[in-house]
Amino acid sequence: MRKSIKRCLTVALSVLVCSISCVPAMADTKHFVIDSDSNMLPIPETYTVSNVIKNLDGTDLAFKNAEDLFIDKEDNIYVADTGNNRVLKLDYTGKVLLEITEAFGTKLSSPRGVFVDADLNIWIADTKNQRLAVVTKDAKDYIEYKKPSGITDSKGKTFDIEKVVVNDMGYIFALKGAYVMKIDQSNIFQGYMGAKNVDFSFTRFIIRTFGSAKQRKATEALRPTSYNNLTLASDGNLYGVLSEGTSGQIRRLNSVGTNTYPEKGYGYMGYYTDGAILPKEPTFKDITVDKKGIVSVVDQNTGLIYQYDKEGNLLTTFGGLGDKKGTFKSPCSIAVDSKNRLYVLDYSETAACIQVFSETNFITLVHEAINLQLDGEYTKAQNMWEDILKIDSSYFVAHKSIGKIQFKQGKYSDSMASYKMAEDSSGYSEAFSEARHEVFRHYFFWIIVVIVAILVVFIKTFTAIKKRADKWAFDIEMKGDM
Amino acid sequence: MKSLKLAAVTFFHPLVAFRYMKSKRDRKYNYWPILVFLLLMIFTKLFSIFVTHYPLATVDSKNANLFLECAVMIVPIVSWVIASYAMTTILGGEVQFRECLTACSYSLLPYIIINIPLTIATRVMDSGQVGMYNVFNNFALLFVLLLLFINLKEMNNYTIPKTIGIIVLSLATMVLFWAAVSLVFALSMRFVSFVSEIFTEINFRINY
Repeated sequence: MRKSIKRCLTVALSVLVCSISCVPAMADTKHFVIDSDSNMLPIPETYTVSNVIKNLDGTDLAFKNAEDLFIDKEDNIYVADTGNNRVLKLDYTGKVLLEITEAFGTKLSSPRGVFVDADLNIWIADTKNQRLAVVTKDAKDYIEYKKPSGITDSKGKTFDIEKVVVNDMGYIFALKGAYVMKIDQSNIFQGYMGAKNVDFSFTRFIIRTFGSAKQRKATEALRPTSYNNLTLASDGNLYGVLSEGTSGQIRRLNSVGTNTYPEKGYGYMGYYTDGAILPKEPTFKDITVDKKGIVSVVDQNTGLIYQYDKEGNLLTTFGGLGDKKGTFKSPCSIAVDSKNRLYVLDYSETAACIQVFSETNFITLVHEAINLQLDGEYTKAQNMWEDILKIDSSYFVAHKSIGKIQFKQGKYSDSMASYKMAEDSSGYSEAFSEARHEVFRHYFFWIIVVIVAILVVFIKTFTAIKKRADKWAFDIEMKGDM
Repeated sequence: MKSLKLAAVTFFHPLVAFRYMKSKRDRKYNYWPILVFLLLMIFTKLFSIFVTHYPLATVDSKNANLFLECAVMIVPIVSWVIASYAMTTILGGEVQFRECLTACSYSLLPYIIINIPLTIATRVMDSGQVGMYNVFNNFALLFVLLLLFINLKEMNNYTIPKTIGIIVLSLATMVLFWAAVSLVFALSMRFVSFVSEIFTEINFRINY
């Protein structure tokens, strides 16, 4: 008796424990891609930690709330070490090559951004000093930009810029709070760069229609979504990540300032497998672009790094929050070097370090296949994608790319199958309409015959049934029964 | 046979058909059409899930929850019948429950008739024709809603404003009904967990 009670209790208890232990399973070190239904699909490992730069050789102070990371064309690492009021130039092993603590006779004060141009001049967003200091590669004074002339509105009272990017034409893009200021080389203000139009909001509409004067005033200060960070790609495009929103958060601006990156949702916004809701939509903190246009962004909320190709297809996701190697406390900046290694800077004081991620064979293959395809080497690219599918048979980008190649070769039905594997319905639809067109051309006469026949049969049956129904309805009206 | 005839009349002359449905109260009632039409509706739903062409499909047939999809069709219909019948009994209606159920089943006819050929036609459509596809789908839906309206009006001899009032009240009843059901469900789940917690407690007392 006692035994059976005990068994009952154990069952009840285990049911209870199971229902309690449904905590969200954070994918901490797993690598995955996301399908069209927001499921996370595991893929082979794509990046491994090859180096951690933590103990700096040549300075006593460790990183303190460092906020920005930059890698120049010679693979030197620049860190805006904000908490220590300095900018460091490091090599791969963590040896300090240069330590900049002052420029133009003034000590740096909380520098939050660093950029290095083609001549290796170092541009420092010296935030608390309200200036943009430029020094040469030997840390000699070069130019100093104070608040530019030509700003008339109240937003430009101060010049506490946080990030800086200089493009090939010499325009300076400085991120200040919610705005990106465009400044020319002679320090004349050229205008603000808005990120996105303000979307229609029903709540705002209601407030503006029925709200009190005070409430209405609160909605007037509405600003378009701002950039969180900017980066300059080697092709001259300016890439940026928006600070909020659920679609089009990654933007690629060409020289006239229009976005050429696909307008869709980036980052994982679905549910974790056990149904727990994510804290909020991803907040991309920084973006980096390699020589071939592969985009990597880092999400501060989840610590995940997302990598996309030129067309916005997700190649891999990895990282996550945690204490282990390969995870982050509070990732705030990401950069890529010429060997496609990813450098991620952690802002938090306890884990202040740069983690260096090297490509695995799998992601190297993927990148090579993408490059071959961009160069128009379709057969080679297709073979490579097929090799990738031998490693991971459900890798979406591979299926999609093969579908695209088959489409270009005119193999529409194969292309349809590949697109279906890639869960790409627009690609499938395109291939299908071409295939349908071919069938139409071949059997045009018979198809017309069949269509006409179906129409005739349909109309005949319809009228026949209608005639009968009219009669039955008449019978009901007259005789009360059919 | 008679049911088939009546279905045809419902499609072309709904007013006549619905009036006829409650005119023969003296003979043995035929329940078969209710079952057949509801099953046909479920069949149509499943058919459209599995056969609709991939670019136009809203539900992925491979990992669709078929039970849920069917419930989404059946539950609103059944709760509508219950709610509208309840309202008509209070507010001077003339219809019996089984007649109400029969009429609503017959009202699903356009959905079945339009959706099955449409689903077959999607096999030659791509995503460019999604507009056309939606037009037909919405037409079927409107047709069904119109038939539901007509059957409520005709079978109870209501005026149009009164019918609209009844519809609003019925919808409110549906909401209340489901609120009550979910409340009972939540409370009973609480009770179950309470009992299981007591068991756990006793288990600890006995064994440790």
